[in-house]
Amino acid sequence: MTDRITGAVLLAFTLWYGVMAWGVPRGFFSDPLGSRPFPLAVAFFLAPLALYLLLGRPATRPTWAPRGTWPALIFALVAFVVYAAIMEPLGFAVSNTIAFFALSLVFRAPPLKGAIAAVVATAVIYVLFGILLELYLPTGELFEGWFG
Amino acid sequence: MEAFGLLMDGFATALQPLNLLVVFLGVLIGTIIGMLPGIGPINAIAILIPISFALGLPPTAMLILFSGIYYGSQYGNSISTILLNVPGTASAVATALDGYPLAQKGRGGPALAMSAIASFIGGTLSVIGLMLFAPVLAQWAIRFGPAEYFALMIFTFTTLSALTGGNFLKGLIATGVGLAIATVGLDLTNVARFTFGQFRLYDGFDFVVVTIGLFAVSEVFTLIEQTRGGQVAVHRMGRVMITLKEFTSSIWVMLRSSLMGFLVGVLPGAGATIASFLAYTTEQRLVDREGTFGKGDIRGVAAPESANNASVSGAMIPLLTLGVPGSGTTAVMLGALLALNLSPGPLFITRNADLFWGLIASMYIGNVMLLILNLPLVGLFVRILLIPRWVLVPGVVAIAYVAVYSATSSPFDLYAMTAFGVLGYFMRKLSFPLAPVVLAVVLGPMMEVNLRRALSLSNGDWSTLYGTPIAIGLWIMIVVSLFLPFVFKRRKPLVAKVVRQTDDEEG
Repeated sequence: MTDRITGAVLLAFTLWYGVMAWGVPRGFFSDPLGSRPFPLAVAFFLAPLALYLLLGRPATRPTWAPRGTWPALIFALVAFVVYAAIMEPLGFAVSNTIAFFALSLVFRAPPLKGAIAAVVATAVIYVLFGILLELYLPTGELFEGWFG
Repeated sequence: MEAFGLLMDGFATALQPLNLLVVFLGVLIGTIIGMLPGIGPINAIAILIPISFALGLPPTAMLILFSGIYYGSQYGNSISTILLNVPGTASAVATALDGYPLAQKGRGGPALAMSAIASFIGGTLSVIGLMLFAPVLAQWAIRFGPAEYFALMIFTFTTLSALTGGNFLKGLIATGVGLAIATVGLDLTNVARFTFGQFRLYDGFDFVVVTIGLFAVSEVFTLIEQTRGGQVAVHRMGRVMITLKEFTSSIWVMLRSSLMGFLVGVLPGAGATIASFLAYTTEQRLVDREGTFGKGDIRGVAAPESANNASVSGAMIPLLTLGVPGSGTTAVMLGALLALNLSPGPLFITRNADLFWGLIASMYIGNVMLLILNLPLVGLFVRILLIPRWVLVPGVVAIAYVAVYSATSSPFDLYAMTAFGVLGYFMRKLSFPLAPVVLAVVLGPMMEVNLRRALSLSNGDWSTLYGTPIAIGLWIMIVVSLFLPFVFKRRKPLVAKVVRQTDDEEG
């Protein structure tokens, strides 16, 4: 069953990709081949493989995560997205502390220790990458007024 | 004799303070990430690419750093394998077969010592091989035109798909998905494809974002499932030393395995994992007269460890002389070189002699450093294994975010990285290999450029693709590679074991 679903999803993707590839315009300075055939070839390469997965003998029996870990997985995913979303408004220091703490909880940190680790690790990374290696880490739009 | 002079110049380059510092950092980081299960060299190199660019590291230092991580990881991976029976990378799974039984008997120390020595021998011998054969192969590869390159890339895709993960169909699908990702953005004639009017998609997906997402982010999800908590128990090591008798009984094992590892490394698609298993099974057949392999025979550590280290320098040969990498990790290194406007290929070594020979010299130096790090100082590294996951995993994620954000200063790449992480998670669950995706993302644009260039040169005549003896030879090899999975089917239990234990983390 897993292979059939994977095959169906892949086939749908391939068809969509192929249709999009069909619509690629011809370039202004074009070579004999042009911009369209390569993506089309990729679609033609994937389509039979997807069909084979859909119609062939199912072989994949994945072991999905135990039901109990699904909340943790979704929580981690949310943490990833939230981290990306708050990076610029709240700045690196705040957003990294929050994300680090959230992820440490996912990995079953004792809350107090996790919080301390989040603060310490953020400070270490800030000093190492932001100050010593001079990488750009956002201060945060919220605090922009505070630090001139 | 000319090579000797060039090598001396190389040492002059490699001994410059900055280069000495980066080779040390490279092998140190390599040892640590090799040792930590779940973080392989491909993650470390991908994360360090944007950081090195932001720092403005010179190309030579960058290549020395990334290579150091690559071969250093093949030293470190045996530490957790032997002491915890948790392979640091897929290429250390064979080491566990005898390494862990040795640790259980309280002989973890000698096993670690043997692993370090075997790694040193494999690593050093293969650098000699790289030094001698790369310039020769480059000479030969000068005859490669766009048509040959196009065929060579297809050959690389088919062999990698055939040999990783144990399922050819899924390897091919992974390649196709990677090629689809690669077509996003402006093509060589500045036609926008799959951009949906979004300007931020015009540059396509950065291979760094794809790699960190597929490997590192998806690994976080995988680790969440495995979290049972608790400290790990490390067996008593004993003295990290081997006797002269153990050394002499293993010397031929190490020499043969080094040669085999090097040759396997040169082949596209067949990397350190296959090298280590091939060496282990061969030596088992050759020297295991009392049936002690698998029960804690120190030669069973020597064989895979010399082979997987030797394969690394072997894998550098197609990368540097053809510009066509054969694995996920070397593909990421190629991506970095392309971003530096250095396109590896037949003329790369002659045009960048200081870079190439500096790299070779740094690899000799790095292997000596690794021997020191992994013999007397191995006890320090073992403590890193005791760092709880709830510090380690968020720490790696934080560094990945810093690296990706510093490259473009845009949250878009962070979202894309997470999306690729979800994709990678499902691919792992459904037993799709990840390395072919990365290889296709890096090679896809080059493949298309070569195809279009070949057809431009021939005014659209397709027969140019099989017009030379080299091209015909490559097409024959492609057909042969399609049958590889059936040859390897006999080894399925071993391959399945690799996949089950570590996914294709080696890349």
